[in-house]
Amino acid sequence: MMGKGDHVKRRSTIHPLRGGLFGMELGGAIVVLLILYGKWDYSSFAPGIVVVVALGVLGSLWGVFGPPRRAKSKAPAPEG
Amino acid sequence: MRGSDQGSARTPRHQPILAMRPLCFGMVVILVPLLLSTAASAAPTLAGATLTGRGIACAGGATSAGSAKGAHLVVVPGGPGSSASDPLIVEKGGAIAWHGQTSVPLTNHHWHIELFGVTVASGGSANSSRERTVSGSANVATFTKELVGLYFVSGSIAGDEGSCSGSFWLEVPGSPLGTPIGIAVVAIGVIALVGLGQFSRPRA
Repeated sequence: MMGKGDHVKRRSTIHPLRGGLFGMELGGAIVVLLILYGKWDYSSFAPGIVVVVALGVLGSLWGVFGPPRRAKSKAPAPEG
Repeated sequence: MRGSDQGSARTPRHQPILAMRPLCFGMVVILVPLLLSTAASAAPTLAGATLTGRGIACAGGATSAGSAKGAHLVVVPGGPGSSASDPLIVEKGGAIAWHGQTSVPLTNHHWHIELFGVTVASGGSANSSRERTVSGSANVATFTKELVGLYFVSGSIAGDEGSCSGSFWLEVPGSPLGTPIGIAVVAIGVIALVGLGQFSRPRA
């Protein structure tokens, strides 16, 4: 049990926008590769857009709920 | 022997080279046009194509010469339908001879060719001489540059009397990853993965 004085203040930084953009970038690269390899009949743009948007959403979720990175450790203040 | 080259200058722990560059993934490249004529009925069909006429009947064909796998022919109607498994194979730098014809002269026509669904070539003519057949050849290198891979080519021609539209798959043999576009796409993907792994995770 945590007492009153045991409250740990946690501050986290999330990056949904950054994750979304990187996810969409990855989706775009995948779509172009699919096109180059002829795996996608791009008679319709819809599947490509879906892939890009879906990976963008996944990237955003990754930026919010992904495993956190360790916070940058601050240099210890000089003593004295 | 171990560690003979250890002790050289160490690289910084975090190189921000790949870091926060503006993300650019508007890279749908369109270079390769090809022909797209309409095709005629002939015998050997190694490549598939689809051709549809509205108001008129259309036919045509295209042959790639100089291919390591032999001359490949696409003909419509009569041949197999457009399919990625039946592409017209053209060597990088090869040429395509094409021809097309319509049941009636197509006047005041306009044509265009699409690659990736984007128009890469277009034109038109009044066709005052009322010709029903047309033929020519296209050097693939003019359009594809260094591109290799499998491409879906479509196009149409429309005039006062009707229209024809068609499509086929074109293959320029080779690995796309060995081309500048392939390398660029892979690099973009790697940058995205690094960005997701290093710069997008929440910080505790």
